[in-house]
Amino acid sequence: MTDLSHLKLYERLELAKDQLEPVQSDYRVVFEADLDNPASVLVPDPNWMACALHGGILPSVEVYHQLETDENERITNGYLLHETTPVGPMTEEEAIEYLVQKDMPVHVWQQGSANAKRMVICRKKQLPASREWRDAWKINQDIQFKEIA
Amino acid sequence: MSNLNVQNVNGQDADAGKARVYCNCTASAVVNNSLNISSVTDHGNGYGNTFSFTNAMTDAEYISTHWGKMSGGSYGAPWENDSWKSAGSYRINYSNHNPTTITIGEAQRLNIIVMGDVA
Repeated sequence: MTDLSHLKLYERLELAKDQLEPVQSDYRVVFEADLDNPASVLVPDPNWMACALHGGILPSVEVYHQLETDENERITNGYLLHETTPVGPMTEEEAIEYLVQKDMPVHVWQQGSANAKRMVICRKKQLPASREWRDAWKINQDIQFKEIA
Repeated sequence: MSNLNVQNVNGQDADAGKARVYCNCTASAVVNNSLNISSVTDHGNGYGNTFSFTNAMTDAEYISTHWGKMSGGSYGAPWENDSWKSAGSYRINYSNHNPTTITIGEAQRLNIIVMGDVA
């Protein structure tokens, strides 16, 4: 695709959906936003992932944090999504980090020092194969992390 | 109301028994598939899923229509061929904390009607 930065975000997304092959990521993000509830599992959308890997379509993730709403919860500066220069191609790992900051509660990924592990990026096959005890899922605090990229 | 936006969240046909979302938008500025989903988060059985969108919505009101019991896996679940809870009540919450997110509780197969503008 050619330079799409002059288009609005939803126009860029529409073109991308027509022209890019969806990419189903094998990554999953397990997180605990509320210790009283079971662990949540975030799954990237294949079309979104294709946009992230291609580049030139999505705004920087900071733009989403800059969105403001009025007293009626209407977004007052949605133009930022459309007018901000799109970011370049991401690796799959960078795209997951983007999603973490965009779609997950801030208090999960922006925590300072804490004893409890509240977020784990893993592969699909590392999740339980059965949902039988789904509501009892918690992050194993003995888990050992390693770099994935 | 116009049926401008049809979003198949997992790219598979509904007949395959997969979760699927239709978004019908009233705003004339909305173009096809403008409410693209960036991710789906599974919060557990009975806790619902959260759909996050790449676009932001303004003045949005959400009404859902339940389709019935899932016969297969859900997009929100990375586990195929598991049975999901049967049809039941549902709720949709607009998250004040994230203008690009809605949470769908309980029912896993929904018709989402989004009434409002897209930013």
